[in-house]
Amino acid sequence: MRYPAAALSILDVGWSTTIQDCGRVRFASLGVPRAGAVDRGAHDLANRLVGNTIEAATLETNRGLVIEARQPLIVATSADGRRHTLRVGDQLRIDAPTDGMWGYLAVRGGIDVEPVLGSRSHDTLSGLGPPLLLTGGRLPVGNDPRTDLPADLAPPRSAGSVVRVWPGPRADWFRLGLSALTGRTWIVQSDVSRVGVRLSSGAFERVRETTSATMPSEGLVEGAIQVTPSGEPIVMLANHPTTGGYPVICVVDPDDIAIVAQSKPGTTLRFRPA
Amino acid sequence: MLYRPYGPSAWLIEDIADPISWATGLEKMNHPGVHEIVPAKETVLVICERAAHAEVGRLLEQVNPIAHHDGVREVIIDVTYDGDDLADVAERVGLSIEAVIHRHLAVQYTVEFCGFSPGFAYLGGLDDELRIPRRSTPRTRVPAGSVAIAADYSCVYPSQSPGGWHLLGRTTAEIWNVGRSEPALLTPGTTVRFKQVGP
Repeated sequence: MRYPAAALSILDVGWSTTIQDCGRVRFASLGVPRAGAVDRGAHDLANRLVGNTIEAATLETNRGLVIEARQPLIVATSADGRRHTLRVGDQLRIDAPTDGMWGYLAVRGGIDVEPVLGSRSHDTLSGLGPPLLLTGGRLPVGNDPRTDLPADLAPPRSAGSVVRVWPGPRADWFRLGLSALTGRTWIVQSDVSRVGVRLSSGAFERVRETTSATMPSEGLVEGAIQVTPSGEPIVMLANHPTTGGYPVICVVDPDDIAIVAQSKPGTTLRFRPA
Repeated sequence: MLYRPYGPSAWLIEDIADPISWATGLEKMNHPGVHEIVPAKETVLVICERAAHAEVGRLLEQVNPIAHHDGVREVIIDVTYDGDDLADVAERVGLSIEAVIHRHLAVQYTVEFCGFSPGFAYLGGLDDELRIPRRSTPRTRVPAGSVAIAADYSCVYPSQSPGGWHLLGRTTAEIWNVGRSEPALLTPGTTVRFKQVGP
């Protein structure tokens, strides 16, 4: 073992807590989802605060994660953009930001579980990667990166509410094209997950009708907005499947995907052309 | 061949007869800005570095499709035909159970693309007589190694997962193993034949 002992204990695993990093690349053609942090900016920020590279694995949680240090640790939480020094036995609770869905805990050295296909991300679709975390479990932390710690704390992130979108490959299947999406306000539905965010249904008049409810499967990207036959747009997040059978009307700008990922059920979203 | 932007960091190649040959040709070009090449039923998705989007677009003009005849892998999968849906499939297509098995065994399949779950290969080439839609109610748990059919395809479930395909049998072949250097047994372009070992 590269590490002497498990460095932190999970006193309460909370809700939807998983280990995440930048995700698995170069295996999409085998049906392997990228996975990784759904809010990469928040994951990267927490890592930078403890002097890690952004490749280090963090803990992603919806709320209620409580950890206890089993050795001295330097950690940072994305929800408040703060760094904490934990002594042995110190406890810390990690939640999403009050107006968001996902929070991140970075530990100096990174969560050091064994990578699978080049990533420590837990794939919530297939279960690939480290197993689900359990209350009472313990996690190893990697060696100190011997970097300097940044002096400043993180500035509060400007959470925009208008999401920029690019035309998708099937925008011309819809009579109004992109404006079917950009002309109005959308409500985030309750079944949010790491896979995608479903929005309230809209009037999508199809120019091109397919013989079945779906079309031949084609590749999906993070941020792709698929429109289901009932007219519900679904925004694909980091853990989206590699292919899908609904037409993609547009693609969320990668810089704005965090706005969608962090939207709580019942909140509103607006889109505008990039 | 047509290609169109798929957001600011991807392209979709379409109007192509053989997506795998285009994916293979693009892979051979080994462009550092290309992250993923995902063949599907009628398209190839190319995910790239955002800063290299225009450059990768120009690269697509120069792709030479490479037919998969040379170096194609052939896999033979041993099957025990005792699937829970065998009798139901036979009834729906109007054949005997023996005839369903015979037709499933008689053809050579090609992996057209992967998707749904890691290592899940869509095996094209299914006998016309065996083409029926997916089950109206998917199973919540299909065991790894289940050999099944739905629509135009056959498949072998690489891991335990939910699934709506009709189960014809099972194999002990290891379809997906992340411990191997090549985790997927059935990669795009691989040809497959099934061989009956029981019952």
